[in-house]
Amino acid sequence: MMTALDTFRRATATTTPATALASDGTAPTAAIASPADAATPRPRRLPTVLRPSRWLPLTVTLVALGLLWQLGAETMPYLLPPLADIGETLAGNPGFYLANAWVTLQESLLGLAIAFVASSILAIAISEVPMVKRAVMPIAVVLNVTPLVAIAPALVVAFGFGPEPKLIVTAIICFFPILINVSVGLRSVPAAVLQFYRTIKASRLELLWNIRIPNALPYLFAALKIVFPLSIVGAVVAEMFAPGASEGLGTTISLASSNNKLPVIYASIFILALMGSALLGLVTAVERRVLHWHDTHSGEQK
Amino acid sequence: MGSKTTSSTTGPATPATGDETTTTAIRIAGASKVYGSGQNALVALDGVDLTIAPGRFVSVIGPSGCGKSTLLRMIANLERPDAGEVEIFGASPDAACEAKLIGFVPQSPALLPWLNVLQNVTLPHRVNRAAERKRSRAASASPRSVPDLEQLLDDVGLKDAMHKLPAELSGGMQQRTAIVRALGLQPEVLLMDEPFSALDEFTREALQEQLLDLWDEIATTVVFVTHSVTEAVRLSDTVVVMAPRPGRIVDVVDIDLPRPRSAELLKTPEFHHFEDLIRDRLQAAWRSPELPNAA
Ligand SMILES: Nc1ncnc2c1ncn2[C@@H]1O[C@H](COP(=O)(O)OP(=O)(O)OP(=O)(O)O)[C@@H](O)[C@H]1O
Ligand SMILES: [Mg+2]
Repeated sequence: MMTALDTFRRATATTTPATALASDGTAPTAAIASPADAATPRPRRLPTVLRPSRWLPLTVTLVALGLLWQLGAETMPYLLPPLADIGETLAGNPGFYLANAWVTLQESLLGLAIAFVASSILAIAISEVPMVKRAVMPIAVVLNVTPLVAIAPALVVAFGFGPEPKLIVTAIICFFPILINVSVGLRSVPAAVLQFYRTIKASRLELLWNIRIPNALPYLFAALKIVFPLSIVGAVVAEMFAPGASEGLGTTISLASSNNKLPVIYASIFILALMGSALLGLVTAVERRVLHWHDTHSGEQK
Repeated sequence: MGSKTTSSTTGPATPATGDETTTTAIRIAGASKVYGSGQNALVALDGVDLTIAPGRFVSVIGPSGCGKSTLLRMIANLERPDAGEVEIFGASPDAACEAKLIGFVPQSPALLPWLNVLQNVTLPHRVNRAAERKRSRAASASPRSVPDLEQLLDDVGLKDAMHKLPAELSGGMQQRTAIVRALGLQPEVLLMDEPFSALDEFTREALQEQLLDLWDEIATTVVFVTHSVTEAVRLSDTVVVMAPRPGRIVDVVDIDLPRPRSAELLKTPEFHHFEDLIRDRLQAAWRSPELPNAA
């Protein structure tokens, strides 16, 4: 670093001593960057997303993957449909895909909402009453490690082909991450903060509302980032096990696979992936607004 | 002793006279605290006696681990003595907290990161609203007006930071916010646990001066834990020297220096005299740690 700085100083000293002097006060990185500036006049600053360093790596990866896919589709036509076929299916019947995506989306969001309400209430109960924690936590853990794919058929048998098994499977899969994270968040208020509010005898309800719940919000959002995409997994798995059901992308996939319609399967998968990403993006955006005070953001934005 | 000349005219801390229980602000008698049991038992405090008159500024100093924080937490009702008793204006610490008579400044500022400075200092007023009634019934207290928190923040130089989040403040500003949060309650007893220990020398001295100014106005009883001899001498009417193993009080030194105590005073021989005195006592306490020599 020193050598680079020295070289720069020597280079600039003869022509513009004033600049060299000024550069003493600034960071060495600025000084090192300057000679390049002098050689090529700096272009106007592009928005971050438009800078090649931002979009180029991903674009290269996508193109490479696309080429690999096409190669695979040509050598193994029974495993991979050509990308053009997938595009054709999508373009040929957008209404069909939209309607089915909407059904799946509704199931996953509703299931998620049920899980959110139930696990939030339970998390508060667990954090406030140790007895509840001892009574509930082991069951929640067992529920969490039970393979969901194993529960789904049983639920279909029990609840038929209506929306109930889908909502239940989705709710179960979303339940545990929220429960764990929120109950940890409610309990991780710094000791000194609690001490201060204890010396003025804030009630438990006041502590909960003013301190514990806001303190748990970053934990809640961490859970939501896991659980929003997971909710789609839950809904699709449940749909696949209820093949009599008429709608949903999971149903579409299982029907298409029995009819060997590869492009339809992949078109559905593509939409599911898109949906998951959109939900994740939505949560992240909301988190940015709600948790503007939280450190992780100042860290992330660097 | 008779050094505090400018205060107790405006503040609410002047106790109602005539009631004998209110002539002491804090009374600690034979208070002991043991952590753990059996082999691992650690006597954090052993038979501590201390009486503090209303409106006094008392510092507690002593080597690390001698039980200063434990003593403070006991007064703040965050810890219960295993033996002995603690009284605040004749009532239990629990009742004192119930009536919001205690302002606590922890070692770390302990602000809520999602609230701005002003919200952080107003939230304590919005919780435990029943305290006002209890306070007027409590032995000591005269009714208090709602303090102008914005004015108080202005007084300590936080006017421009009022709407900033704690993360946007320097350590010194955060600690000032924590002090205003406690003082804004207009507590009868202000308890501070090494509030300036994380700050640099310069900020420390500035905050000491601000604290003294505020204390002049609010005229409350203060118990101030510190590691710094200079800080203890500058701020206090009385310095309590503690020794470890077991935690106990070995000396109580009255600081007979005039107030207000400007930065100039720190250079005078009188000031050095008290500094040397306290240092001697501390060293004595440190050298003979196992001797339970008087309280
Ligand atoms: N919650 C606790 N559990 C067990 N031991 C404790 C606890 N709190 C304090 N102690 C012990 O009690 C003794 C006194 O602790 P305390 O925190 O009161 O010391 P201190 O004088 O404030 O020290 P410092 O100046 O380092 O803050 C120490 O030996 C400490 O290890
Ligand atoms: Mg301590």
